[in-house]
Amino acid sequence: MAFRGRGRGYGRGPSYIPQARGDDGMPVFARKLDGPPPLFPPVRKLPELPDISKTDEELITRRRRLETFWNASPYYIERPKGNSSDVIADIERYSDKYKPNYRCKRPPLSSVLKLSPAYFPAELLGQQAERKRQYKGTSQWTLDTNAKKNDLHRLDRLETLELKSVKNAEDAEGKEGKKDEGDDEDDEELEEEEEEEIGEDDYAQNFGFDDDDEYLEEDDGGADDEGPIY
Amino acid sequence: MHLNEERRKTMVGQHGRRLAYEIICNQFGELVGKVIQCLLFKGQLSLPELARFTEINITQLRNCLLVLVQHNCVQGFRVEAEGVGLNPPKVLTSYVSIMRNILHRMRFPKFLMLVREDLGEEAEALIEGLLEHGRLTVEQLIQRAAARSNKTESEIECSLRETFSVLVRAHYIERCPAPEPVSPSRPPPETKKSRTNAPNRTVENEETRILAAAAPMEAERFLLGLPDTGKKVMDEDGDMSITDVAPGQKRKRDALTTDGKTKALIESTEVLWRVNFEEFIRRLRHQACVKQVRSRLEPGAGSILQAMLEATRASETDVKQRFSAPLTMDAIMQAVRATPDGRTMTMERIRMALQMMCAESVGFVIKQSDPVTQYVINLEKIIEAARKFELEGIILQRYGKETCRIFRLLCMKGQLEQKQISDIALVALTETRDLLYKLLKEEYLQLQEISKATDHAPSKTIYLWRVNYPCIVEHILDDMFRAASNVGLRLAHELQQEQEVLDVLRKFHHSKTSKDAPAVTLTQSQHEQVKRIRRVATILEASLLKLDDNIMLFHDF
Repeated sequence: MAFRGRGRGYGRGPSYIPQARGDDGMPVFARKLDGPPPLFPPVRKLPELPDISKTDEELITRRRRLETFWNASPYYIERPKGNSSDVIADIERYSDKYKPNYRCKRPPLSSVLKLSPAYFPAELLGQQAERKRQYKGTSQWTLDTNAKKNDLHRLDRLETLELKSVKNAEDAEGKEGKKDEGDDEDDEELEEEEEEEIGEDDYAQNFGFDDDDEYLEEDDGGADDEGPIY
Repeated sequence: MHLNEERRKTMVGQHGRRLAYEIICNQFGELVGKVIQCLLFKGQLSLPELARFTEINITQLRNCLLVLVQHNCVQGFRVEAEGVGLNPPKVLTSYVSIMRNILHRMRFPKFLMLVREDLGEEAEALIEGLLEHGRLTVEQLIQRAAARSNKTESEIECSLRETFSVLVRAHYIERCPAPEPVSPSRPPPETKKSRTNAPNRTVENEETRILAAAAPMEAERFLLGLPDTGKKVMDEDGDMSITDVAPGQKRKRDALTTDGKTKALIESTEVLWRVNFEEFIRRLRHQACVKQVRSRLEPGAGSILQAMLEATRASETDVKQRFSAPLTMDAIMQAVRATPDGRTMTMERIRMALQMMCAESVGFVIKQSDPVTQYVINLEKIIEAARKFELEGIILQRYGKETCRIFRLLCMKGQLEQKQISDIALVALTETRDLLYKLLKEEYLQLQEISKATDHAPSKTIYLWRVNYPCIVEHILDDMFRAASNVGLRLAHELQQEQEVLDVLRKFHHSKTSKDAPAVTLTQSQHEQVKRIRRVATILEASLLKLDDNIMLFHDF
């Protein structure tokens, strides 16, 4: 079609390949790609890690405190235990003993909320007002959050214990560590650390654990606050 | 280009909402998260509609909504639905999410630090109680403080009430809004065109109207209604009666009668109070202004501005106030002399600093000459300068010096052609082209075609590059919300990955605290892992708090 009619446009030869040209008239060549581009291209210049100042640490402490409170408070609404749908989730595990199980220790919602039509829309109060239990006690103010046992708090404590033990061991100019329990514990910890020739896998974790000790102890799996069982 | 803009406008809301949903999930659990997700993404819904969308059983749903209302994340309101056929009109209760308050939950630690610096530790403890529980009465606050400090209520009541009054007078605490106001009449139904153009704007307007209808009257918002200490009168029965309401607060209802007295007494024990987020954001905004002036001009000017802002704070009505109240020179002098930094400043010094701030290129303070020489702080300009500075920093870090230069040039000059940009910014032409197209792709710049011929041939068209500032602000804000969401997810992911080590750590601590538990040790590699996760968690949380500073700058200030 391009060559029909005489004199219209300038015909090019059969071996002509059209060449793209950029703004400045120079030809633009296509890049050769081998395979699709990577999903996460390597970042050549990573930004620097931020410096953590004292203010930042204070802010972080407050943030963790608030989050732990909310997770243990009556405001955290848990999924109701399914009947038989989720078998895997419902199996009781040994490690559940150490996990922060707030389910049984949570005060009821009615103990902290003032359930009256002056504060909440009436339709939300329907059943709550009937079932309101007289909740005595101050535990809704001082929740058993085990704030000291929160994961991230534990990490902090471990760090300080570690630093102390390093300081004791090296007997050198120390980095500052928080004052914690007495030196007996540090020695104990040092001794324990030296006993690590046992190994790093499950055997180490079970070493010294005697199954029979806890045979007769009752597991506190949520039977506390649920009242008499009929 | 137009389509991109529309898409971007809807996208901005999405990432912010996603972040809000994740915040609620982390703090109150999945179920509450599901409810708020519905409200955030679908707008206002009634209880049956919520039950249908979330598929949660009705009791649980009620509990979730109670929690959300308690924590000021959702507002209920009454809507009159027109009767269908012969049925009478029904009154339904609908719920709308308050996204702003949900996003404020990221900043609670900053609020606590602010109160601590301003009013001390006891005030911080009170505010902490209100932040933890959302809404509390004075009695509940006293109970909480007593339980935490292991003292009796009577011991701490006096000083606590005093601190409480101080907080209310400083507007840090306010009364809670009405639970179910009647929704103000809706604007005429949207046409199809307007609906596609600005869906977010309509939603935000509705939310604002409903909140305005729910809010207590300005006179009542900070009405203490408590008996002043020292003016309590003990009756023969030993009951307390109020002889005086806090001065300067007129009630729009009837004067206090005997019934009114008991009513007031009941009210003082039953009024719910909550944290006034507006005041905190206002203070943080002032802090950001002072910081900007300090870094841009000089520290002395910053102190003077701080004094001026403190003097005019009480007269501000809106968080995003554009101009402060006017101040005379004498008032400024007085305010500056009252601060520790400004005590030694001479009149000349203050005058010079004001002149610097009034300079045309800067424009932070405006000088008004009639009738008396007064100075007005242009808060909007200062915040805008802060935003531009931040924006340029981002571009500098991401794309390099030359790109930043080009961007600043376009901000100053408006519209320019490619050749002109290359000449003025002293960048090679090829490089200019690359950088310009890179910025265009990331939607920092816009391209305007002006063609001389009707066929829009490229050789006969002028291409003008320009910066559309409001668009960029929205785009950056969107990016920041997404970044904050990613940081939160990453933190959760990292803690999840190290769950085993954390379990071991828990056992370790358990073995330390209880005598009969088996001894657990941590191996060397576990130690390393614990060290690593601790460092990672601290860095991620600190980054989130710093990112939140910028989110506030672009969204709330």
